[in-house]
Amino acid sequence: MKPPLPYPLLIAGLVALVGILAFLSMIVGPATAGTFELFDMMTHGQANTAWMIMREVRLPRTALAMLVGMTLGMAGAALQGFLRNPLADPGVVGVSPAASLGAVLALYTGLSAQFPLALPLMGILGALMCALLLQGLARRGGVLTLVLAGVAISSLCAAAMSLALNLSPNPYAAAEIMFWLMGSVTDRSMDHLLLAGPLMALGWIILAASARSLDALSLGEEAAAGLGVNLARTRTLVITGTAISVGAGTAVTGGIGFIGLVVPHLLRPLVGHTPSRLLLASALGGGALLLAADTLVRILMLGPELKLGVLTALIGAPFFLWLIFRARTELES
Amino acid sequence: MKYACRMGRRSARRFHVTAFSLALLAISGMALFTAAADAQTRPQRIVSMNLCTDELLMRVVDPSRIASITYLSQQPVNAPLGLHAIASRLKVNHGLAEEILMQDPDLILAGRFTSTTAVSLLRKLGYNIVVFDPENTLDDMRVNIRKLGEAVGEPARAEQVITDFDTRLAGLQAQIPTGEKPVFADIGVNNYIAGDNTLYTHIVNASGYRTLGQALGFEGYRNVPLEEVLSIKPALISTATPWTTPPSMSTMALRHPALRAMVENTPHVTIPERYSTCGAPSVLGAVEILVRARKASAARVMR
Repeated sequence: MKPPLPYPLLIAGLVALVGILAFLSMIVGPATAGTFELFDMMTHGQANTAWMIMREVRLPRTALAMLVGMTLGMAGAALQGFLRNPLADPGVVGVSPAASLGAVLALYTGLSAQFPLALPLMGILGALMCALLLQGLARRGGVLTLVLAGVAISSLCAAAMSLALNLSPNPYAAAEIMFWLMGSVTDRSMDHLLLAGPLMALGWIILAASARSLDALSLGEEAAAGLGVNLARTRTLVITGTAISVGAGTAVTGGIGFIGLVVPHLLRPLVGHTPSRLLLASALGGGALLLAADTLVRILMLGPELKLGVLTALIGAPFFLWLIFRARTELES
Repeated sequence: MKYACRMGRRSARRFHVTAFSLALLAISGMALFTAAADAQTRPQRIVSMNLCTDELLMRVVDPSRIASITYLSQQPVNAPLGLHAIASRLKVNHGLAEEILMQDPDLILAGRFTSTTAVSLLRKLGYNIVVFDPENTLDDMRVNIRKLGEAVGEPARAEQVITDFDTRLAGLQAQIPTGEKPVFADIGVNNYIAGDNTLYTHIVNASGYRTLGQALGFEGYRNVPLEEVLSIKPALISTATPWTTPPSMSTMALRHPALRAMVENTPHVTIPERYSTCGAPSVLGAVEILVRARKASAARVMR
């Protein structure tokens, strides 16, 4: 299938989009700290505060929205390519629920109140445990075993999180857990960025190493094996890369749904259905979408700030339905 | 100030015009000086990021020293008892680091479980933050009021707030008829019922009732199955919640036929949630309603 526009042009366009949205994210603030207010502060002798807001609040927030969006988009593309299943996303294989569970345990035990970075660290630990478990379970089975094991891990993690909510000592502690689970990049600091950033980058490198094998896999498992693709190695790369990058992202932001599912679908026709090209395109698309959603969250201040995960699902789900509706003839044939 | 006034009078006797301006200068100088000293020792731009610290802060310091409170305190469902006029004039925050940085605070009051990411970011940036635990008892409330009084440099006013509270509470408690505490069932919110060691139970106990949770014998908050709710006949119930608009599951549960019979045959009161959310002097609103109900039922028995 021939893509409607050349690949380099598509990538250049997406990079420009990410750049524009990142710039918007840096200058758009909540009503009381909006663009004009900040400009006003800079010209009226309060430049220090204004710069501090830009550097210590907006910058980590913008960078995290972009990096986490990129991670979700790329991991979604890699998983859909490897599993050859259009429903795959990091949540389906259990990585994001496991990371959330780790973080919830940090909140529930009060560890995060003593030491704030315990929350993302426990989240990353949860994602890595999930990856180990998946690897162990899927060693003998095929792709189907992997998906089923992922679904089981997701359910187990969801049940354990509900248990933590059930047993939480007071309504305030329960509310804290619930709000965290909704996903957000609000008020994350440079510490969060420095912790999660390098891990996300490491995950991307591992995912990118699977690109060639994913292309071969689109011809089917047997054909890929005939072309010399080592299925076990590809699986290890995809699972490890997803666990490290999505684990680190989720650990810092909480659950953000639908990016990993929707973005690959949206961009697949534009890269001519080539899985290796979809990885980069989907990463950029995910980054752009999450930046846009996080900027929208700040514009739509309806009392309490909307949670990012809620907004991505609110926009993502109907959009996904529309995609399915439009492509149903293609899917059914 | 006293010194400035004395000096003003003495100079006025000698040269009228100059004296007057001198005195004015002196007074304003002293005022400036005391304000400066005050600013050095006591925070002047205090931000509260939690509904419960909002109320305590408004009771302990002068509104001029409050940079902002949460937007929640301006909502009618949350407005602390008797503080609506003050709350509506203050600036608000939504617990976001950016807006709080804009308000340039010299002291930030926060709750243990609210806006925790913003709090750790602000702490990292070097802001002075005092964190308050949610109050589980009325004694926790007194501890938090004293802690807040220390933090804002108003220990005497904090003590006064506690004394006023205790006086009003004692006045209400003196009206409670003697005898065993009857059961009060607040089944308003999804059968979410308060047992021992909760703020709600302490408020109810202070008003001459036991909660349904205590009668059922558990600690903390629980969602109690309907049959357990119906197993004990309360002397008083509270069914109305402020969440009737928009409608919620909690109010729908009240239409259950089994519950409706009990609701129709038992005296009931409405305790606005804002009187029991925080361990703060607003709880007197709840105590007053419950004590009145207790007196009314005693009067019915007499008849």
